[in-house]
Amino acid sequence: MQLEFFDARIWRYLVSAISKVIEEGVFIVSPNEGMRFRAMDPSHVILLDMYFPKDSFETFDVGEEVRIGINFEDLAKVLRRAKKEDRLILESKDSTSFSITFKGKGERTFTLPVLDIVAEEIPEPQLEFKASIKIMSDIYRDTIKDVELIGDIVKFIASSEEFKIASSSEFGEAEIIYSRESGSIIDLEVEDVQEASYTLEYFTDLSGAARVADTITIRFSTDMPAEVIHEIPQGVVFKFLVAPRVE
Amino acid sequence: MGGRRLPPQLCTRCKGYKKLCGLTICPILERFRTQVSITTSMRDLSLLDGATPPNIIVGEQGYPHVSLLYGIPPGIHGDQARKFNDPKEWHRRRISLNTILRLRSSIVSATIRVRVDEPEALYNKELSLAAVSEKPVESEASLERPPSMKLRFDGLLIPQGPNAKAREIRVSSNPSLPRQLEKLIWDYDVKASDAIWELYLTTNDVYIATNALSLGLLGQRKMRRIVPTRWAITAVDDIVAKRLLAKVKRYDTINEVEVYHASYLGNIFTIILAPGSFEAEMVEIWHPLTPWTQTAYEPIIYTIRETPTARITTMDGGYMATRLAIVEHLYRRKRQAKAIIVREITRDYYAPVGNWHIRETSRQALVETPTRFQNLVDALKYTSSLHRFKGLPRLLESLNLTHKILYERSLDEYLKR
Repeated sequence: MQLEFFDARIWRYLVSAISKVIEEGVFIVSPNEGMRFRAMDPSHVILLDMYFPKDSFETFDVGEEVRIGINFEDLAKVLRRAKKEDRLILESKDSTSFSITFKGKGERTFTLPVLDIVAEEIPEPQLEFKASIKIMSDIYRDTIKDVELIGDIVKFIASSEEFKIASSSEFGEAEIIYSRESGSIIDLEVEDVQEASYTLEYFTDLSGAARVADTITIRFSTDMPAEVIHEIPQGVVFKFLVAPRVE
Repeated sequence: MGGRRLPPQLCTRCKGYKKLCGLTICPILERFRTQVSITTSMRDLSLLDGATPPNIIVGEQGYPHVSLLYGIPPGIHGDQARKFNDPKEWHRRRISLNTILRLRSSIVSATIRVRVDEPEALYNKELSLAAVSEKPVESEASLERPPSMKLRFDGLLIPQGPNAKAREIRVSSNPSLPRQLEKLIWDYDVKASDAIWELYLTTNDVYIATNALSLGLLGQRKMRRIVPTRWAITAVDDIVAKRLLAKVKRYDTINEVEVYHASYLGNIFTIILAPGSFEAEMVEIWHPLTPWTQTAYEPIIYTIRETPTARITTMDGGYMATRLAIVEHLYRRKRQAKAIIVREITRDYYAPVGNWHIRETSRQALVETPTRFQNLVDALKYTSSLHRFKGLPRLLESLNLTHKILYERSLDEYLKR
């Protein structure tokens, strides 16, 4: 199996974000669909889902389905060496190891062992979201940084006019409002008023992934899970679903 | 002090360690130092002769030129010297704070200046080997002047007795080292963190590894440094706990809420373990009239939080010590859990004696049979009943981790199987 991707930095930021939440997991590369990774954290509060369609690769040489058991911390360390203009080649010749090659000014290849682990079967979530907000990814990252200063819980409140992100603790309060007029919202679709709270830490840990995303879509409903979708060039999608805090 | 009143909130966070008030010397520790004056049994005030238990401390002032305090109880030889620096045994026999202070004040330290990047010099004189000996080591020091009769305190270290500059320190019996350590001293390829881990596994504790790291006996040849003892204590607690945690985080979770309890030296500890993947929150309640809250009118609260991704809100030697005890416990039973730790410090803890008692009391609490509960709310109620602080029920309820355990849902509810 051999895959070639145009920008190694996209891999770098996605894998680095994943490594903060999950220690190991399985990349599944299928000849018809492309590459997919899905996993939940040990306490089943967050579900990560990363998808690289077949067409996003410049080379997609896959005979039959390949499963690669990954230690994310180790892979993130290697990917941290990706330079700006580097392409990435992912290769697997046998079931015991796989290699990462950065193709730029030279070719730098790292070989890592494949972990002997089984991908957890996770059903597709069947959720209806009553609020959907699409914003630019840099605005999303700034917002997470703002609320981080204050508390450990982030609260989303959405109406047809505005999207409000809030946090409070003994330390103080933070409130960030994006209205239709402010121009920072690309799309806002909300039924009535939706309001829910989440553990901020997951958003913080995964905010690095937003660096390589163009836009972010947040979908949620009152006291229900939230889904954060990162739209990345070449049709690549990274999303996570996080369980709410309900008092 | 000129009438300046230091806020006790700051002092409980600092414990004389971080110098948060901006003063170069902690006035609280300094006051203790002068309160406890002592007399020595030394007959010849220029010659210090006895066995070090061992008790060798590296200071941090003036880094990278630091002082080394070589502690010897004057005139005490052989095994008799051991009790002067034996935290585990003190804890096992529940030795009182008074007795500990008396023992510590009768140790005299011969001090020399050393450069942190010259550990070989200490090794060649066998001074660093004495520090990691399993048995007391006969020693002799000629002093430049008579020792100052003061007891020195520190938030993280065992109190230090009188000290005086030494012209020379001689080791006159053979230090007895764990075999694994002898091997590691000569191993110039192994990283210090790997060496610490190996030592922990063979000696079953952190104390020898801490001294070995502090005296620059571990690590790759060119990387070896003399490390101030209090840095070494927390570094070793952290390195060992991290390695254990990497394994613990793969284990199944416990399935009931368990409450463990113990107290010693005026410190009351309760450790609550709850089902879920590892994370922790520790709350300290400092009653008025403890070392750090002399000027407080009501208890001072201080919390430290460790998230599932191992971010710790503040580096705190006390938390690192209790965390090690908890991770050791989980590792032994091959389970993981969330931990809420309550440490209540009463006025009976009138002088700080170092963080070893936090590590040992937490360990002791965790070997006792826990009281079990079906839910966290009942466990918190029970915990409040074990403590003196009236505001504990509300405080426990307000903890971040409590809120998370009680209110965070699992995705399993929303994923149809």
